[in-house]
Amino acid sequence: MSSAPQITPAERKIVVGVGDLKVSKDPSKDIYTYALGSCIGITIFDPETKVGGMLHFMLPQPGKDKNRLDLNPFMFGSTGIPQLFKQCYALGAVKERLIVCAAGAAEVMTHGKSFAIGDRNRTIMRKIFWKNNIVLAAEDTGGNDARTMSLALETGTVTLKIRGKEVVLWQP
Amino acid sequence: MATLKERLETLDKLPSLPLATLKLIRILGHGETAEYEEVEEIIQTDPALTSAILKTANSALFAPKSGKVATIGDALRNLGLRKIQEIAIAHQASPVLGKAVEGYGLLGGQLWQGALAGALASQVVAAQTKHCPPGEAFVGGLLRDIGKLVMQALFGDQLMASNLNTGEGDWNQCELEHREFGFDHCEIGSELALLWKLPESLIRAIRFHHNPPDDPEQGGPLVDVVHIGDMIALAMGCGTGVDGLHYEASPECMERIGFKRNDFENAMIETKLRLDAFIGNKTDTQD
Repeated sequence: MSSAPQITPAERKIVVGVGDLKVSKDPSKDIYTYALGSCIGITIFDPETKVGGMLHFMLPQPGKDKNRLDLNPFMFGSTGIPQLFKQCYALGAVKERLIVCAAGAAEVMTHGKSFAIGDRNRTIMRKIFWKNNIVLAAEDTGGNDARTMSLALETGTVTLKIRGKEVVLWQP
Repeated sequence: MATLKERLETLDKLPSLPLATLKLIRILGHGETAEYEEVEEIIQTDPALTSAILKTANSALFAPKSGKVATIGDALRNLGLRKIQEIAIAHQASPVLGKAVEGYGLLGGQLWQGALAGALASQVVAAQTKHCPPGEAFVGGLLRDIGKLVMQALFGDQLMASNLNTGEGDWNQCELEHREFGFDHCEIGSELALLWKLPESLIRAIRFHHNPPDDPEQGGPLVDVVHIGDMIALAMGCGTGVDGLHYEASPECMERIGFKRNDFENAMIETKLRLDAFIGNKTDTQD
């Protein structure tokens, strides 16, 4: 009698790089992004269809610089966030059911002028969510710690790893 | 109390770079006087390096439109001296910097990714500001945190315990290491660079990249450029372990170099594009 094939932890992982977006409706998968610095990781999950996705964006928006307009849209919150939702809708996710979580936006320390990349990333995210009536189920942003973020598509659980410790950000 | 040099001498096995790499780094310090023949000769003494350069020169990213790059001489003519030096140094440093560094919570590949991101970011900043040669900035960024490997070798579990027991708040990683061990990874890293006989400007960049105001010469051009390159890598989360972003940005350094928010953002974007070209959009690690 043959047994069901074992899925290794590596095979379970879908890895999201910096300025990257991944979506899936395979409940055997976990979506990961490593070491969020000033970038923000956003996860969305529909518990009924088990469709989920993660965006790891780096900067708030392309701005007016012509050179930035043709760039990968996942690098920016203003262009990446709409894509995250659209791609999950295309897989069958429904807006009203979505559980949305966010983490990251850390800053280096400073006693003077700062570029506040993390803070500005958080502002654009909140602005887009507010305009589109999206409420965050859980958020862990700011401070000086790097974060690793994961979304388990089986359950929708969102976990963070901060300074070696795992913390559940959201679970059913 | 033991000097840093004596501390290094207590280690059975010091982190080391191949001789060919050290020679290439030293001649980078010669600036424009470095000769093609000199670089060609150094690379050809190392068969593994020769093969790696030819492979890269024939890759989709760098291959010529027609024909094949068959010799190091061809590669030098096609890509230029600086590019070949960077590819060679990055290739040779990758096994050394690719190791897991448990004391900083860095999995296999994470220190390397941070090194490469810092190298490319420093190169971008140098090109944007014309403050120092981009090739020198690349090497400064690449080797800036080499001291983390030495800290791991010297203190192992004690380092991890110290880094994990910081409590909440905005503690500074360099100050923490000073308090616990009497020196930080920048100081011990610069001592290693001295042992490797690297150029003085690189030794200072490694020593002061987290704290340009501590430099008695108030941050030479390379120190300032590598400091900003480091800030970019940290913002991108590259090479961040349990120390995270617990480092201080120097506003004086940004001022000296004339770097504004838009410049910083453009440098982040350019670094991301170059990083993708170098290794692809992979932030995976061996855990």
